[in-house]
Amino acid sequence: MAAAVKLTSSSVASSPTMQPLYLRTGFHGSSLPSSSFSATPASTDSGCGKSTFMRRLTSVFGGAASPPKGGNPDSNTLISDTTTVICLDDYHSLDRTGRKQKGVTALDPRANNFDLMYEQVKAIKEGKSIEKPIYNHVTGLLDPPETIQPPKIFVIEGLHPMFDARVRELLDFSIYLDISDEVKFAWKIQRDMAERGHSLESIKASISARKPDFDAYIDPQKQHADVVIQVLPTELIPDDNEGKILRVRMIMKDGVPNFNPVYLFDEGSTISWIPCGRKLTCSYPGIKFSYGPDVYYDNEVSVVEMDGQFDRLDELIYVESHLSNISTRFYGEITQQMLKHADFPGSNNGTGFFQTMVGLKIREVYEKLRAKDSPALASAARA
Amino acid sequence: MASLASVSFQTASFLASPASASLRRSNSGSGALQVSSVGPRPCPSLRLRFVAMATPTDMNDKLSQSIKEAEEVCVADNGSGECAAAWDEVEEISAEIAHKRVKQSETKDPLEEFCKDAPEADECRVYED
Repeated sequence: MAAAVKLTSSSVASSPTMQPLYLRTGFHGSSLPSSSFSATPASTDSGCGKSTFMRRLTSVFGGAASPPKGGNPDSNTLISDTTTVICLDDYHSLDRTGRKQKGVTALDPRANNFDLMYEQVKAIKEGKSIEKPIYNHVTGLLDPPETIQPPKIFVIEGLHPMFDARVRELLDFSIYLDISDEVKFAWKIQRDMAERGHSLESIKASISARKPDFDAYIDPQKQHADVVIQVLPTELIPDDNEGKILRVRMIMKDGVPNFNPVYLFDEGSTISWIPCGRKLTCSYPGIKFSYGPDVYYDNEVSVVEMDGQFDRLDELIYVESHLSNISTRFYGEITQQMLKHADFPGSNNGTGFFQTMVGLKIREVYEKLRAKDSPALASAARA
Repeated sequence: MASLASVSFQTASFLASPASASLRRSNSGSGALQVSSVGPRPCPSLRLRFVAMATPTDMNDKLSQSIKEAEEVCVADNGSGECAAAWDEVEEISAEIAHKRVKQSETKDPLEEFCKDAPEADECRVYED
């Protein structure tokens, strides 16, 4: 336990406060503007607001997220004390019937109104409320709009958060969830196989019919993300195709304002780490970590990778205590968050672990923006 | 324990058909529940089940129908926009069914859910003694 405490303090001490100049027009408003973050796409690349990732994020910020009170029961919005998450499907310009008539998928930019998306995200950043349309996933129709008040933290989630350059410019931090084809297939089988009408063939057909648009319009957005979470099949079991054990990589862009990438043991080195051994016993197939610098779409990045899964609490806390720059407020905060949502999918592997870490990082980015923002506002008031 | 079970039972049927029964928590006696219901309720648990499953059933019909449509559209041209759009609809409905399923498993007590939005309602009142 003593060793663990020492490790935490060292991780706190080794996080230098980066203070790059980062000015935004949004900061000049009279009311405190929102920080905006984006995530794409939801775990199986459609539908949002209800994803595990968003629930993990809002949980890190504190307070439970729930749909707007007394509004449209099919609203896609989630609101907590600090955070509002909107679903970008609400900016569909074509409804379900319209898309079918024109032969256009929801992944196609032609089915989405980027002008309105930009105007409304900008308005929120300037501290103004918006009348946002609602895309109803049950009926496939566009419902009357709902009023969204500017929150402290504004998250846009969906298929195209980084597609439009104007919207991208407004984001303080962005995340892309990159699910490999193998894992996507395994997840969709798990999700849909029991549904009446579905079969292995229909699941395969649906994935392959949407793939050209996915590759053309969704996948390229990952080059713009500050963090990409890649979900791949394990390499611990040769030729594993069960899709139960995952290898998850967190690709973090270097030089992003207010964001210090997580590292393992020695920042900038290349490290391979198997925590299971004499001090920690793990069950088959074990856990393997690696860390190191890399290049991703011409950007310098740091990558932390976890292959395998946690079977016991002490494995999780052991691993957490050996990582640095994780932006926790107290020892074991990641473990606590993971335990709190033990019922969420991915709570015993790298998906939940890294998603929680990204949540902590976003909290830190937000706090640094706030810290810089407040003096600016104060001096403006004096002038 | 038995009385507890009957509480959620009856409130569930109340939620299902607001006009049919009215519930009032008595503040006299030992805090037992008085139900001023019109006639006996033959099978309230069945009712609850029906209400909870209503939307997913509709969605399931829509799903089977859209899968059939997609298969038909794609026979003509596998690489057409119409084929992609048809399968895209299948994906959208499948995702929505999955979301509804998760939401349903999270919804614990229908009375709690109802009272969250309407704390002033009679059946949501809480008496200290």
